[in-house]
Amino acid sequence: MRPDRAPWRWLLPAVFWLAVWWLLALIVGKELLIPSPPLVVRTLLELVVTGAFWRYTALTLLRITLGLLLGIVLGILTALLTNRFSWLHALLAPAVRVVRATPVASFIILVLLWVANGRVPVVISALVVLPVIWESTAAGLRSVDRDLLEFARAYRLTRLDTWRRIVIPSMLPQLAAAVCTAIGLAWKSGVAAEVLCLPKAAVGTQVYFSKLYLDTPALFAWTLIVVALSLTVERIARRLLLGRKEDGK
Amino acid sequence: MKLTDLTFSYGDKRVFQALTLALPDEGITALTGPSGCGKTTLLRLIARLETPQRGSIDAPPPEQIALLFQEDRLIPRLSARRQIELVRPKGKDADAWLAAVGLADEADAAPEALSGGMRRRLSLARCLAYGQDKRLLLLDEPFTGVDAERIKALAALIRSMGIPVLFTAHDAESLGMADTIISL
Repeated sequence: MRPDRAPWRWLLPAVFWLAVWWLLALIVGKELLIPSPPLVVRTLLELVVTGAFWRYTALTLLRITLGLLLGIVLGILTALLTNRFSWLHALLAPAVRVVRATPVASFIILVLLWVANGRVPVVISALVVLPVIWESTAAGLRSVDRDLLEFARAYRLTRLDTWRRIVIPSMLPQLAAAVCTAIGLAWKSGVAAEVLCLPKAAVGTQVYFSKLYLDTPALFAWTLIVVALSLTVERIARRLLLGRKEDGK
Repeated sequence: MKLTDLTFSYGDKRVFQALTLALPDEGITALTGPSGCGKTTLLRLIARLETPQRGSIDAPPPEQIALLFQEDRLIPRLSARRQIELVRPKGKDADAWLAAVGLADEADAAPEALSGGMRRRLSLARCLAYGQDKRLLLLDEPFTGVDAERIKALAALIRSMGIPVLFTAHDAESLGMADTIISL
């Protein structure tokens, strides 16, 4: 069933939450604590017309997308290997659980000692994404219909056809859901890494400066940019992974 | 074809104990018997999808066998035409196979849009398309859900291929196409 695309389905909640934000800003009455929506929009418009804004945004987008892709590729490769070699699964599973449980801040500070500060967000995003993709890909591989795999063997299907027609379509929904979750995590952890590592040109560095100068409207404006970019990347990924239909009626 | 001293179990469940059976090398042979007597297991053993705990199987190698599984095992959301193209049929193209089993109008339909009998015919067409240059066809209940009139046409199609066939069945209509009937 297709989701209801009527505009009011997203417009009404958006208007509601905007009203809640505005009301809170009016009640609190201090722009340092909660800036009003018009002030944040004005700050955003002031930022957008500067060349620096586009450079920071593009570089953050590049770093996080690289980290995301690296995490996805490594996660899928790890799942393929652990699915094939159970001893490798036994070896890696506890390590991945430890990675998941470790605070991101600890990793950020540790990775900062190893690589240049501009590359830390790439490594951190990849590190956060990898376990999510690994687990969902491994679960997807385990859920492939054994009867269809036996059919593929009995009818001598090529490895490519077996993957293209049976394995990938079977695991794609789980993988797509995991990628969407991973995109949000990559942005959160990537920007956190920028805040702690302060690369020269980065959204995270601007978030840090807004904290330093108590410029809450700028903090809100940069946060809105991050949320918008994260949702846009998620939308593109969803379309790429789930938009294609099989050829049957 | 000969099965000699065959012993096979699924876990603790013994299916065959020292079974020796000679099967005709040509024509159409039906295997019948009560449910659970091992008809499907016998086909799977001949196709080498199962390995006996003891005994030997003298039959064409697995790459020379086409097996129609008891379940349709059609790929979800893939059109009928693609289901057949996937097994790379030589000679007749996919549309000709679909027409041969009465599914010419369903070439673009996915399995989800077909009735049970149609899915069975599609599965059979795919098996025959794959098996046309093989030395043995193993058909596990090929006519499940297919009406009596159509069974005759499908039986004629299978016979016209001129390949030895071993199939399992319960009903009189299906058994009627066999040259030899073996009861397990």
